[in-house]
Amino acid sequence: MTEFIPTVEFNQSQEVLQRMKALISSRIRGKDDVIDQVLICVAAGGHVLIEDLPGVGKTTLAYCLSKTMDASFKRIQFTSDLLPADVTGVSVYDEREREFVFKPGPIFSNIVLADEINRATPKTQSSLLEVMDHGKVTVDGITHEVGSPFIVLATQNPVDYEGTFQLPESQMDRFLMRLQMGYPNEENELDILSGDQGSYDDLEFEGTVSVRDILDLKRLVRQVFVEKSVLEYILRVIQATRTESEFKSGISVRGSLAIKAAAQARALYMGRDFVLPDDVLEIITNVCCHRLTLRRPSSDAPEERRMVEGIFNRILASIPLPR
Amino acid sequence: MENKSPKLSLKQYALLKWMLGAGMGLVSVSTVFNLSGYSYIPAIIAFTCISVSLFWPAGFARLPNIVWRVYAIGIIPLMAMDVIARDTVAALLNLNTWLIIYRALNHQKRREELQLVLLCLFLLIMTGILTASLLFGVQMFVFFGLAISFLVVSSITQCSSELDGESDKKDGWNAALVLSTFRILFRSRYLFTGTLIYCFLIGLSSLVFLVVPRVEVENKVTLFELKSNESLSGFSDNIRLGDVTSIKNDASIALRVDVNSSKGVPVDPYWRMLVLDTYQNGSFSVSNGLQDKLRNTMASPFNTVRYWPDKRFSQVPSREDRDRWTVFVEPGASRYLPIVGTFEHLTFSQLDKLFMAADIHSFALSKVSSKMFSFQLEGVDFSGKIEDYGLMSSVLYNSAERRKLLRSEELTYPVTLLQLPADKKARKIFSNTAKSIIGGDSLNALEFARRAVEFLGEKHDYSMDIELPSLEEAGVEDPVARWLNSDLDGHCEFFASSLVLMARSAGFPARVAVGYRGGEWNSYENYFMVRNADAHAWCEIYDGEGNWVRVDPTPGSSSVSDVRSVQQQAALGVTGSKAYLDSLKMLWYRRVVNFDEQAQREAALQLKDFLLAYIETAESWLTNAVEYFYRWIREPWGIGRIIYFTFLAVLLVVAICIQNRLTLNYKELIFATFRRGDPIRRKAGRILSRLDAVDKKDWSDAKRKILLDLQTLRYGAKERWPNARMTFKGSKQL
Repeated sequence: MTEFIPTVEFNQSQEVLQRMKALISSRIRGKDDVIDQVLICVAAGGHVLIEDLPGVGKTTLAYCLSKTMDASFKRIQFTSDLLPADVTGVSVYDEREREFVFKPGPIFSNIVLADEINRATPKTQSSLLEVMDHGKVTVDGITHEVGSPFIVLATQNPVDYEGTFQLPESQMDRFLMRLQMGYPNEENELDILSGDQGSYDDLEFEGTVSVRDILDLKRLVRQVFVEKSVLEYILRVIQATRTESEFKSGISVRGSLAIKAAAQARALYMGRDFVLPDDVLEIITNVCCHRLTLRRPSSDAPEERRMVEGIFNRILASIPLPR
Repeated sequence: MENKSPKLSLKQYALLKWMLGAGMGLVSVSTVFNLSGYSYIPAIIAFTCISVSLFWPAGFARLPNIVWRVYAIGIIPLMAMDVIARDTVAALLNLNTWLIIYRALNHQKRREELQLVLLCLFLLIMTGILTASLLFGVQMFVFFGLAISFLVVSSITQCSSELDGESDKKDGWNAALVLSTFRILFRSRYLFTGTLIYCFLIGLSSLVFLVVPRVEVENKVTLFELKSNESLSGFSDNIRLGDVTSIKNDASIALRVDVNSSKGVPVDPYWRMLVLDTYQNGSFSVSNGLQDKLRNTMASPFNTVRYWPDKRFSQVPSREDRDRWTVFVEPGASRYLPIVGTFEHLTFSQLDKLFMAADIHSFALSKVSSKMFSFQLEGVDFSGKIEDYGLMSSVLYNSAERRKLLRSEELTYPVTLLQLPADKKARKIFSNTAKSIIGGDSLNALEFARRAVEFLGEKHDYSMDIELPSLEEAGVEDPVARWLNSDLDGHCEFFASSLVLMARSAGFPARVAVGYRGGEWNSYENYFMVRNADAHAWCEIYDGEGNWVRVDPTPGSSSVSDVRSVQQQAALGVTGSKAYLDSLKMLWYRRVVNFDEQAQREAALQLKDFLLAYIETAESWLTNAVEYFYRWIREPWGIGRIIYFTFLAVLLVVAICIQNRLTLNYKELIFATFRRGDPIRRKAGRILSRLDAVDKKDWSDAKRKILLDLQTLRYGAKERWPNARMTFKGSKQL
C-alpha cells in the first residue's frame, strides 16, 4: 500500500468506470444506485448475487454489464437437474488420440451469468465453490484456470420457494454483495413502457471496455489507501456482529476483507484514492447482510432479511464513525 | 367560543419585551442610588438614557452602528480611570452601569437578552451586598417579576422567527399600539394569572428558604418519628449505668459547642446531661420518681420562677455582655440537654418543648429531636457546684427521719439518693471501705470525697476493658463491690459507682452524673467537637450546705479550676482535613440552621467586609502593578536597554511569523505528544466533523476542492497529502 496510484492510471480508471456506467444506465432506467453497486463489485473483482422478484430486470442488468465489456460471456440456466459436470465441463475419451480430453464447461468464461442459481441442487451449487474463490476448476485431479477476470453474476428469486434450494452459507460468503433491484419509479417505468425494448441478443454497445481495463481496475482498487482508523472501524463492526446474540455467526474474515475491498472500490469509483468512512457505510449493508443468519430463523425469507438488516443497522448506529 | 380573548401580535410582544428590558435596567440602576459615597453620574446617565428609550425607542435604533462600537471601546478608558483613582468598587459599579446602558439599548438576539438579565442581576446583588438594606429586598422582588416576564416574552418571540425587532423599533410605536397592548395585558385574566404565578413563585421560594428550617417536620410526618425512635443511640430515659460504656464505642460527633467567652474555656468541660440516683442489681439508673419529675408539666420553663427567680429562660438571647455557649446537638443524640454548668440565661427556640428538673439541674426535650437543635447558655459557672432546690437534703440529713425512710419497702426519690445495695455483704464491703477511709476522723462530705478519690486512684487504674474477679473468689454478687474489693483496673462507671456507694454508706447523699467530658477543639472555626466516644460518668456529692459538688474519681481528670483562653485553645486544637470539613458544617449551623436574624445580619455584614477586604487587596495589587510599570517606563533609556527591547520585539515578530507558517499552532503541537494518532489527521478530522452539519449542496468547486483536501488529510495516504497549512487556512472560509 506504500506505492500510490499514478495519476494517469487513476484518470484512466475513472474514465472506464464512467463509461461503463453511462452504457448501462442508457439501458436500465432509474436504477443508478444498483448500477453503482454492481460496478463497485466489478472493480473489486467480486461476484454479485442479485435477488428480487421475477421480471424486474435482474437478467437485463447482468446482460448489460457483460455487454459493456469486451469479454467472453456465458449464461447458465440453473435447474434442478443440472449437474456439476454441466457447469465445469467433462473429460471425454478421444478415440483418435487415445486419451481423455477436457471439454470445458460454460464456467470457462470471463463473465458467467448464473441465472436462478437457487433452483439447482446443492451438489451443483457446490461446484461453484472453488471457481468462485480461486478462479480455478479441478476436474479429474487436473486444475484448469478459468478466464481472467472472472465474475459470477447470479440471480435468484426470494419468495419462490417451490422447487428451490437455499444457497449454503459457504456459497453465500463467496458473493461480494447481495443486491436488490426493486421496482422502478413511475416516471422511469413510463419511460420503459414507451421505449422500444429489444431482446438481450440485440444488445450492442459502442465503446466497450477491454479485459485489460477491468484487470487494471482490479489492481488499482487494491492500491487505494485505507487509513488506520477506518480499518479499525471495519474491525469494530465485524466484531460487534460476532458478539451479537441474535446472529448465529458473525462476519467471516473473508467478509471483512470483502468490506475493505468494496470500500476501496467505492472510493475509486467516487474518484478518490483513499477511503472515507462514508464509503464503508455505503457498501457495508450490501456486503454484510447476506453473510449473517439469525439464531432463531424466521419462516418467511423477506421477514428474516428485514430482521437481519434491522439488527445490523442497530449495530452500525451503536459504533461511532472515525473522526 | 364567541368572545375569544384577543392575543398580542408580534409587534406588541416586541414592544412589551422592550419595555420589560428597560424596566429591568431601571430597577437595577436605581439600586446604585442606595449607596452613599459613590458617584451617581453613570447611574443618572443610565437612568436618563433608558427612560428616554422607553418612550422613544426609535431614537436609539436610528443611531449608526459605529456609535455603539466606539462606545464599547470607550468603556475601557472609563474603567481604567476609575481603577487608577484607587477605587475598584466604584470602577466595578460604573463598568456594570455602562454595560447595562449598552445592553439595555441594544438587545435583539437571545444571547444579548440573557446578558442584559445577568448584568442587571449582578449590579443588583453587588449593591445589595454593599448596603444590606431592606430596600434591596423590595428592588429584588420587583426585578424578579420583571425578569421572569422578560424571559417569558423573549421565549415567545424566539419561537416566531419572522419578527424583526430592529425594523419594528425603527418604525417606533405609536400611542395606539401601546394602549392596545396594555388594554390586552390588563384584562383581568392575564393580570390575574400573572400575579398568581408571581406570588406563587415568591411564596414558594420564601417557603423553602425561610419556613422549612424552622418548621417542626417530625410532628407532621410519621416517617421522621420512626427514624427518631430507631436512632436512640445516646443517653435516653431508661439509661442504666453500663450503657455509658456502650455509647463510648461510637466515634461520631454528638454535639458542637460554640464558645464566645472572655472568661476562658475549661480545659476539661463536663457536658452534664442526666443524674442517676437509684441503685438496683448492680447498676445505677433513673428512679421512677425522678423520671416523673422530668415529665411533669409543672417542670416547664414557665414555672421556673418557683425555683429559679434569678435565672431566665427565653426564646431570645439577653442583651447583657457576658460569655455565651451555643450548643448544637446532632439529630437523635439525646433528649437531654448537655449543660456545661449552672447558668444565668438559657435561650431555646421552643420553650414549650422543654422540661426541667430543678433539683438535679437537668433539662430535657419532650422527645428525641430528629433534627439538629441548638440552645444557648449565658453566664455559665463551670465550678461544678449545683445548688440543691429539692429542700429534701434537710430530710436526708436528719438521721432519725432518714433511717425510717430507708427501711420502707419502696424507696422514692429523694431517699434513693442514699440507697445502698440490697445485698448485705455488698453493703458491708462499702461501709468497711468507707470506714477505713474515714479512719475515725470526723470529715465533711468534700473531705471524704477527696480522700476516697485518693484511695481509689491508689488502688485502681483506668482501663476500658475490665475483668471482674469470679463470684467464688469475691464471695459477693454485686459487681461494684467485687471490683472495689479487688485491685483491678476499671472504667469511669466503676469509679463513679464505687465512690457514690461509699459516700452513701458513710452517710453523705451522692449521685452519679452522666454526660460527656472534654471534646476536641476545632481550630478552624474555634468550637468544641464532642463525640459519643467522650461519654463519661462521674459523681456529685451533697456537701451539707445546699450544694451538689462534682467529684470525678476517674484517674486522669483535671482539677476544676483549669481554664484556658480561646486563643490558647485554638493553638492546641485539632487541624486537618476532617476538622476542616466539620468546620464547614459548623458554619452552616451557625449561619443558616440556627437562623436567628442577628446571625443573618452578621453573615451579611461579614460577607460585605470580606468583599471589601478582597477588593482592597486587589486594588492595592493593581495600583502597585501600575506604579511599577510606570516607574519602569520612566527609567532612563540607555542604548543597551533599547537594543535589548528591540531584540525582544524582533523575537516576538519572528515567533508570530513562524506561528503563522506552521500547520499546527503551538497548542496543538504541545498537545500532540499526549494524544493518540497524527495531529494533522486529528485537526482535519475536527474540521470535517464541524462541517458535517453544513449543507454542502450549493458549494462552489473551490470549496469542494478544499473539502476533498481535508478528507485527504484525514483519511488519505500521507504521500498524497496536499499542503496542510494551506488547506487549514482555506477551511476557514467554509
